[in-house]
Amino acid sequence: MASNKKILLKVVILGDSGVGKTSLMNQYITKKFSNQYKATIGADFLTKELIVDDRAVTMQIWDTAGQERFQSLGVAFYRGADCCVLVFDVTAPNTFKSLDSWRDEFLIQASPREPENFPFVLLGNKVDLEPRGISTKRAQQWCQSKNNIPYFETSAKEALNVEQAFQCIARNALSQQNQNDDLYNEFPDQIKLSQPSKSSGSGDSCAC
Amino acid sequence: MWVKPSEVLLAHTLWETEKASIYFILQHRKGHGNSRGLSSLLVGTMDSIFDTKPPPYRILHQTPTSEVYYQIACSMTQQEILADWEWLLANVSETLGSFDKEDDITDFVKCKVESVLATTQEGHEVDDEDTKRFKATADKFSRIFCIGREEKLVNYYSCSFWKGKLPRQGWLYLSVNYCCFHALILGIETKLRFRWSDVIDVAKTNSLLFPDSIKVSTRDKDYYFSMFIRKNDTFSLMEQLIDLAMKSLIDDKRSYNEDKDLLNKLSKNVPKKASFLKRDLDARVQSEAYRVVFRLPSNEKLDGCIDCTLLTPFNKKHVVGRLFLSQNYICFDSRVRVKELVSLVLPLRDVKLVEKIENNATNSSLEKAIIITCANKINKSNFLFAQISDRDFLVDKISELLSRTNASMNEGLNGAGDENQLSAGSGDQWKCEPPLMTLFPLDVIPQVAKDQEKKEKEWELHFNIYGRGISMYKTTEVAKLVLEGIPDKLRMDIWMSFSGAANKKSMNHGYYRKMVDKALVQHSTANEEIERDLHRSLPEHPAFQNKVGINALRRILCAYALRNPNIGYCQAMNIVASVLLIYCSEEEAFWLLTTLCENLLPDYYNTRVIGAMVDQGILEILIAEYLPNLHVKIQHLGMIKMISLSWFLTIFLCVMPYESAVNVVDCFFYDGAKVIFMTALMILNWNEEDLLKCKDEGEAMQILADYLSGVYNDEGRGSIRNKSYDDQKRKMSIQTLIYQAYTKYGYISTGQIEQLRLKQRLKVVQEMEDNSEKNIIRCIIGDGYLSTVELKDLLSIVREEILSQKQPMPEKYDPSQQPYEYYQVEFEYFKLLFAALSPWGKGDQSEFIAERIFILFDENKDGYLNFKELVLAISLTATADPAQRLKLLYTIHLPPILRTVDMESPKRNEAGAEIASEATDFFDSIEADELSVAVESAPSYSFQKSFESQASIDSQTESIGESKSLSNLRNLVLSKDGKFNMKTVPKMTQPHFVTLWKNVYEIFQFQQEQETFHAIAEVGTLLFGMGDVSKKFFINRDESEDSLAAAAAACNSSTYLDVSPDKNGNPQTPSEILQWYITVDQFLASVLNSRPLVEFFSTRANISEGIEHFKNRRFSRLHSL
Repeated sequence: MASNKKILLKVVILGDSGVGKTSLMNQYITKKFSNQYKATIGADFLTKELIVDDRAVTMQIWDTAGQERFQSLGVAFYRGADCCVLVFDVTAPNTFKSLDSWRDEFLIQASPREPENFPFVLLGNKVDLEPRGISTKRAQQWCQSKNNIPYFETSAKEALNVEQAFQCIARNALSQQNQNDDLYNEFPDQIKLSQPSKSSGSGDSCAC
Repeated sequence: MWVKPSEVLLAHTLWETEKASIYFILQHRKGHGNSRGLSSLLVGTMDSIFDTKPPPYRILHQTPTSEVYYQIACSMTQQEILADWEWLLANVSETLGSFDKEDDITDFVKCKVESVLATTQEGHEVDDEDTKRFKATADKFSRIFCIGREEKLVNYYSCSFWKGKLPRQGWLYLSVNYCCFHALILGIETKLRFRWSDVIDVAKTNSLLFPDSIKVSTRDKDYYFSMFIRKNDTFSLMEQLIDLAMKSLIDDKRSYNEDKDLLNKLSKNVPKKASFLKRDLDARVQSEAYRVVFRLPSNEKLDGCIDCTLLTPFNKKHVVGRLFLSQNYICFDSRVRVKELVSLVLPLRDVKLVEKIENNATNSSLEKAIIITCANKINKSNFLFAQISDRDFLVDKISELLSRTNASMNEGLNGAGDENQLSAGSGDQWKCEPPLMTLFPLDVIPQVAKDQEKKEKEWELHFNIYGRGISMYKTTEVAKLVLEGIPDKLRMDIWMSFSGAANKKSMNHGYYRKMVDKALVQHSTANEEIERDLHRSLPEHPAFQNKVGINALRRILCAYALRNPNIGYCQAMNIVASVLLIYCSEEEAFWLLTTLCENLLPDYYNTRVIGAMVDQGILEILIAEYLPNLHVKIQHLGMIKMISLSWFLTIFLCVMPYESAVNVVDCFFYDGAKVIFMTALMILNWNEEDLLKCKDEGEAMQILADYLSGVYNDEGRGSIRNKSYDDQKRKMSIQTLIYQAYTKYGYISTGQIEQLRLKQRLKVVQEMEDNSEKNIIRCIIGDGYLSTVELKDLLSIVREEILSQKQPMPEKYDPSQQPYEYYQVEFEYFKLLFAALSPWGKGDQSEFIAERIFILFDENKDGYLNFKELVLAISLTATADPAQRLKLLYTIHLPPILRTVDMESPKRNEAGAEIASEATDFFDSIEADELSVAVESAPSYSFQKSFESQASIDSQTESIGESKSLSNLRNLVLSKDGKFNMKTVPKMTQPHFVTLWKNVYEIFQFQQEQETFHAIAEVGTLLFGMGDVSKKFFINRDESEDSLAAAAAACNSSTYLDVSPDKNGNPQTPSEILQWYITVDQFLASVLNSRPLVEFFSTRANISEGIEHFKNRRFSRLHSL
């Protein structure tokens, strides 16, 4: 990958329905909060140009549907992601509990080469609301247990920590991309494709 | 038995003559009776191939100069045929002499036999489901393939199956769940059987190797069948059966139930050649097509159809077509599709009068005519059908149906009345909202208002000519109007009648109110999910910034979730429902949503969104066909799945401004799902050039998103239109888009889509099954006991068992459950599996051990092992490392798993105790007793009994302690080296150890090595010694009342002294028995010191091979029954 070329970072936002994924993305990109978003069906996406560590990058943010039944349809979005943002609602403990399953599902579907080192970022959203259902400590503990995932407490409504969180996301995504150009087991099925040519090769040698 | 005389040309091949007179011969078939030569083998083969299996005896008639024989009687027994023969000689032969011409003789004989036949058969004409012949075949089917009688054969076909490069001629049997083939050629039997639910593809192929055949693929193998007499019939039946299997995989409740109503069908006698099931299935196909064409409710069954003409008053023509009749509707569809296209739906509830018109000599086009008068709230009209060939029959039938309709209508009305009264009394008051656009009018845009008015006029004009409501004459005229967009005010009525939702509504008075009242008071996940999305449905419309709109939306979504738990609530339904509420009053919106979810977009919103995935697959196929360049690109970008999901799920309502997309909805309710495909293709077509230039999927998505949000509608009144519609963003008007879509892709037909759905559904469902299998394996592979291949094999036999048991599968895809929890086995099946797969399952003790292991691993005590538990239970005896296996062996012989009552009679313990000092003798004695053990033990280990009695005896506290100790023991077994503190493991008492060692001995009984036995004896002695050593620490006891007394005490106390748990939940070992004990450490150390034993306990059993054997054995065992 040529380094002078503009870098494209792909970021996927995951989390239960209604935790504020769309709001976070839009707050970051348009600096506005609206309570008029529709529930995301399938997926939505926005891009933003930014400078990370003196390098111009295009961040492509993919917003996904949160309802359980759409979880397994995410395959198409996950592939090629450089960073995965997990979001939960600090006032709704259930959304915290399902983080594990979102993380697992992502790792399974995206199958990055080094799952344990893949950059995740956790956002606890809606900190402007009371009462808190999940304490900061509890969220941090979870992050530690998952190989020190960075954790931010955000409010998309009050634009709290959103910028910082996405800066971190961008940086992690970029460093990951630099470290390992070839992050993914590209098409694991490829091995199969090369088999016929192999066998034809051996056939040739027989003929000789 | 007399048979209808039929010509026989070759009278003597295959048959041997037994008796003969001038005009008759009696024969028996070669190969019957004593002769067992080559000829009989050949005849057997022939019979098998042609499925003739003729009765072995027959009587032929022939006149001396004729070459033709007539078969007039046949029989399975010699006795019967002889009786017939005697009768012939006595009654017929003499008369025959009086004829002059031989032809007359033949005629007479034929006549005579037929009349005899007729008299004997009278009274036999019972309205039986299936013909005798078919029943016989069904019997044969279940016999050959070892399938229970409850499995229904649908049809059978003669064909060949390609085994390798050789075709085998035989019979293909299609039953509800299985596809089977059987051939018997020269004594070689070919037999195969697979489940429809395992089929991943079926196709007609024609290759050099397998000419003109049907290829059926399962995950393991491809099967080729050819030489069908009617290949297409067979193929479509296969497709239908596979589709049924897929649908029942999607949702269990839809599995096949036969429709007995068919027996009482009002139609004229249909020839009953095929099986009842086949007729049923055929009828289903027809009814399905009928319902789709006329948008009728899903329980409507086609009764019959008849050719006739319809007088179309708008152009004064008699249109040739066909009249269809079902329980609640009379429908008409014109034959000539292009020019005089007209279709008509008359609900019987509206029919007031059916009159015959007497023949009018001057006007032949009115021959055999009837007039049907319909009236409902809106209007009254007459419909004239003519040239009905069987008019009287039709009229009779209509009147019969009408009488039933009226009866059921009255019932329905009465019921509804009650409901209203009831709900009036209940606390929460709510009323159905009118269309929200009337409550929350948007600012009037003069131009738009004018356009709307103009359109309304056009429609009124149309109504005047063609009628309105359900019974409108539907012609191309109305299609034109729909394409231009329906005016807001008329949307509700037109959507209701075109979609067929009006039919549903009128048949369910009071239903909506009842559902809402019920749904609002209950708590469910669906309701929670709905609550979260209410404000995220159509927030731009003022109606949904207000309680009124939100409450109405909540009501219809919750009511629907209650109505259809298979769907519950799926995001996207909120968006569709809110748009429906804008234009329609609440109850109408509910029925439109119902029709949309259940008829127009089948399976779209269910828990796995299967329908939408199916249609996405179809879109991809259509793109490949119509936009091949783009297809390559799109595949490269891998994007079609991401973009189209929201298109399909919301009919573009969430991707375009809704006032534009609603025009697509107009067409959608008129024309069905094909409209979505056409529009999608057109959108892609329009953007093809830009899309081809894209570098990544993001860019492509951006292009499409921009384009879609720029689809404008100058004739619509939306809220966005005023605010954010600057000219730059305007890309294309919705009218143009729809018009273009119809021009370019209008020929895509609903039938074509349905056909594609059939194939695609198969693909999607099987991919999902694969995925769920992968998920299960992924959950379990981490345990590290079995390989992926082994897990796959094991899963496949468990699955087969579950399917064949027809166990009610628990509610699938409950998010709180792990995927493997759906696959579970009972003890009965576990026992067999254990015996087949585990190295410990070879001897008499197999069931005993299996039972202990089952108790240990059945964590929730429901009498089932789920797949993960099953894998542990088997692999810990077969593939785990030796220490783990020995720990398991030790554990299952501890209380509470091995209870005192489970052990042998006192006598045996005595023996054990006495001979403890002389180990070799001890083992000999066990050997001698072996038989008696087996006999004694077999009945007493009946699992269910002990399980139940145990549960009933146990007091609450005991069972808690027990399950606590069970889970502790589980942890011990599962712990790999070192981590587990062995000190907390209970020690083992002598009686338990005796049982344990006896079992060890029996596990080895199939080993031939002398050395091994020696080793067992040695280790056993050693352990006994250790137990004795520990005994010596209890000095305060007298030697004389040692183990013998203790053992006796233990046996007398049938309930457990030994279950008072310690703080770990482990049963404390009572002090009396503590005199003799060994610890798990001692046990492990001793056994692991003996090379032959270690060898045995570390050999990895070949699970896959075991499974293969197991499968074959089951197949042939059933076969032998």
